[in-house]
Amino acid sequence: MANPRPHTGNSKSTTILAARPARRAVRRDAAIKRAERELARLKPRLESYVKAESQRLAAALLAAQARDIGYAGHVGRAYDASRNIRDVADSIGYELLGFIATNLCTVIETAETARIEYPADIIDCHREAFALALSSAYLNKTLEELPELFGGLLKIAEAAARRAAPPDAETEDK
Amino acid sequence: MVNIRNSTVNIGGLSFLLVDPNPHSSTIIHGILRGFGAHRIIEARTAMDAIQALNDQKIDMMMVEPSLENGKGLAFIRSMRQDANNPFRTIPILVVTGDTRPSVIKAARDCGANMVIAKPMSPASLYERLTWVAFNPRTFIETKTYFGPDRRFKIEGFPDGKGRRAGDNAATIAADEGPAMSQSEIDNLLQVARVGGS
Repeated sequence: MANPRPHTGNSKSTTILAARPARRAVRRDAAIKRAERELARLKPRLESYVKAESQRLAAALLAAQARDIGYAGHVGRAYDASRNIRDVADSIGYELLGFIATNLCTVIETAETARIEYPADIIDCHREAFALALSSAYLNKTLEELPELFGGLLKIAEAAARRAAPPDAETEDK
Repeated sequence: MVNIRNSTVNIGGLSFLLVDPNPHSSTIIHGILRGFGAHRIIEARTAMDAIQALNDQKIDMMMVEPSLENGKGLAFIRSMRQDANNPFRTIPILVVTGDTRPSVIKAARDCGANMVIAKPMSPASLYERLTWVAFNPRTFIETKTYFGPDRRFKIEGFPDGKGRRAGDNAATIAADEGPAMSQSEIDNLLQVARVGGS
């Protein structure tokens, strides 16, 4: 096996990034505050996007729930919408929505990794959770305010992971 | 050891290339970087756009979403790293992903990325990752199957100041000496760093 040899290449960009405190550099706390203000400015646009993706997700999950032909396709579309929500929701303060989207993505990814059927009952359960999270009473709630819902959905995702685990892995644990 | 909470990274003069098929997700990172003081932020939606941007402009750091081109984002990074003639093969690359399955993180590490950042990200988490990359430059390693930053992480600092490896004990960071670099000095250094630039 060839010995790894260090590269004495051309890029100094990383080092340059550490060309620290130049006069115009912004200190950490100030930089973070400024970035948060930028996010607040973007919030209205991102809110519209999250709501549109939520509608797309709801439609895909409803179609999946009806066990229409092309169930995998509906789940795939639900996954895409859910991933889009996951990537954005938390950053604009929709913590609950972000959590449910993350959870649903995990459930679908786990099934895909294990190459098992999508757990339809668990996916249905997330559809209802999404509907709840989108209601005005819950939209801005934090996970700390809803420990039962938070804990319940986590358990559901764990159950999905257990289903996806190979049978001998479970017996080894015991 | 560097105290990240009190650190300052000057990114005002750096150019960032965000390679993300989702414009909304990209907007968030763009906004955060702008808040940090970055002025030159370019967004690309496809690998071709990214290559075009790299050829057209001075880029100091890339952020790539693995879902690029139907999941070929990591292959794109690998191809950049593996190509010995690619002038950008050592550019710092951060993978930005919401898919945090261990297999995805491992694949991101093995394609030659400098760092993986999980989405959704907060300004604080991105700042800390940038600081980490800035203050912990890693040697690039070239083997038959891998080209990228050294994937082995060295523990820096122990409560009692003693590590098990000889290298661990040596991992102390010197105190800041002398005045900081000016922006023109940084620009000059970057100009030299760009391959192909005359």
